[in-house]
Amino acid sequence: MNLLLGSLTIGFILSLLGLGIYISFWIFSFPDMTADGSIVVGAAVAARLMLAGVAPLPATLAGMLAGALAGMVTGIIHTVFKVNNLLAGILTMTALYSINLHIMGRSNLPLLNIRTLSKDAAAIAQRLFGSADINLLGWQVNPLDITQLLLAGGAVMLVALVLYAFFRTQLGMAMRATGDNDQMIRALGGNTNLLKILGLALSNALIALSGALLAQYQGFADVQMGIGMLVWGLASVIIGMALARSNRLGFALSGAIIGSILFRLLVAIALRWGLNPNDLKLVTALFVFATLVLPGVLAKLTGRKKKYQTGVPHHA
Amino acid sequence: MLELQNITVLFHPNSPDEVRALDNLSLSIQPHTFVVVIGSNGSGKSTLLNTLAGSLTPVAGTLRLGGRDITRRPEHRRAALIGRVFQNPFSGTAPHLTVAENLALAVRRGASRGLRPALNARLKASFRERLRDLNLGLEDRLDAEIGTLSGGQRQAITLLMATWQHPELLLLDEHTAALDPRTADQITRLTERIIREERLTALMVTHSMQQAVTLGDRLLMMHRGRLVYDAAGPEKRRLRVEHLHDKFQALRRADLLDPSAATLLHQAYV
Repeated sequence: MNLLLGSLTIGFILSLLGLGIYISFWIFSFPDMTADGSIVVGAAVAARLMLAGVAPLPATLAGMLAGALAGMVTGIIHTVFKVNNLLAGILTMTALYSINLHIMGRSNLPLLNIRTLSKDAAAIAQRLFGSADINLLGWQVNPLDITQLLLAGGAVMLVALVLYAFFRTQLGMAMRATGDNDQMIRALGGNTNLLKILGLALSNALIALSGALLAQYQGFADVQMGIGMLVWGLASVIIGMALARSNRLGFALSGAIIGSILFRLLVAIALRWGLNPNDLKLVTALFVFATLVLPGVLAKLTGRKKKYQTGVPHHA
Repeated sequence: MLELQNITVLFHPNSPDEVRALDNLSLSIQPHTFVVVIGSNGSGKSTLLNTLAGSLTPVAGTLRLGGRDITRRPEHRRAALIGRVFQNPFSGTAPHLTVAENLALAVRRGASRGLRPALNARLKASFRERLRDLNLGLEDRLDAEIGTLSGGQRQAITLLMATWQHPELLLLDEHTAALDPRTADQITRLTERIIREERLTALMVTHSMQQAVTLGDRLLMMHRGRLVYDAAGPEKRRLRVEHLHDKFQALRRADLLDPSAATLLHQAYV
């Protein structure tokens, strides 16, 4: 049971990564490799600041800001200097590797004897439930685990609501139109370069937030923790879009979150069944490949046009 | 008032493939005039529209609209003055946004876009009213994704979007060419009505001789980046399809003559 709660908590934390990738890949059709670096920069900045005595919340927000900057850099490289979108992300990601090492000072920063959001959660759990295990529908669960899950879930819901409201504002709607038909929004006076830069900043801020929270949950930040995270996020959101079966904003955002949690649970189950952790990234990549290719193959076999695009962004 | 002074646009400049898409073109158009532009392929009519909209930048000349010099203004900053409908019915709308969301984007054409909700009940009511005006049954489809509508319906909405904020200049780039004849006819009538009612200054590129003689107050014929015929007033009203065919024939003959004349000169003098 505690394993399940842990997987759910990590699932919620990684759903912020999923939301970030939904923004870059689905809304902007931008395969943004920055993700692999920005998840680490969020963790690194937050860890470093907390070790220097900054309170966990401002440290986490600073990590988020660092991610936003990384996204802006990718956006500027792509729009102003006209570098191919994939390459722009790879450049930022590669540069971030060195920057992250500089921020952390070494490749791994443990967060053992300092105050983090996880330790704060423990204090809240102590106050709410005491220290004994609590009985949840017949299961004995650790009060810390359940508190962390509730906090992570609450934070994600809050972020999702803010995003839902934002993408219905004048600015947010112009961003959605940029990914859908940039010729149209330019003709209506939208500065598509600026909109892309802002969108990538938002996307990478969320991914960095995910990294900052993950580091605090695991108790360490590691310079390698970002490897393959874009593909992880893609796999998560692909599952979510398949479930949502709609391009509408509310469905898509919920789908990105639910998909992230489901994918994390699937991975936990696969590992428990004996999947070699070394094979995890291979399996994830194969999964994403299959979802990109299979819908086309199936359509050919059945001769049917699909109503909703799930695997690939609707406008790719 | 729209004024072009000695506008030149080059494709592939300084290369063997250099093309003068617009060749020292000067033109002025009075406010509230509906101008129809015709010409064969490669005559520069689409280039003219793209240059006015700002998707292409001229290498020489100045462009004025309503007294403002807009020659160097980027496309998205001209949008406050210029509304645009493209040939491809899918180019003017965002397919995965709803009808109402697309119209909401057009309401802010050329204005700043902030953190206020893009849609509200009052806006939706005005959308419904204007859509009912079109008589296409679109007033009940405000919340449908635009991608689910037909090309004609999308083109009608694009037209509404382009004219929502009363542009100083409306650009129509063969906007009925990709539609079936009945729908094209419907969109043409709608176009004419909106231009008259809103007293817009409009430039419409068309391939249809019939449209060219029946629509508009002024006709421009282009050839190889230059203006070769300009008719307005009574002359425009008397114009018939046959006249235009004759003019095209004459241009074609002149084109054919050029290379053979060059050969003759070559043989005579070299």
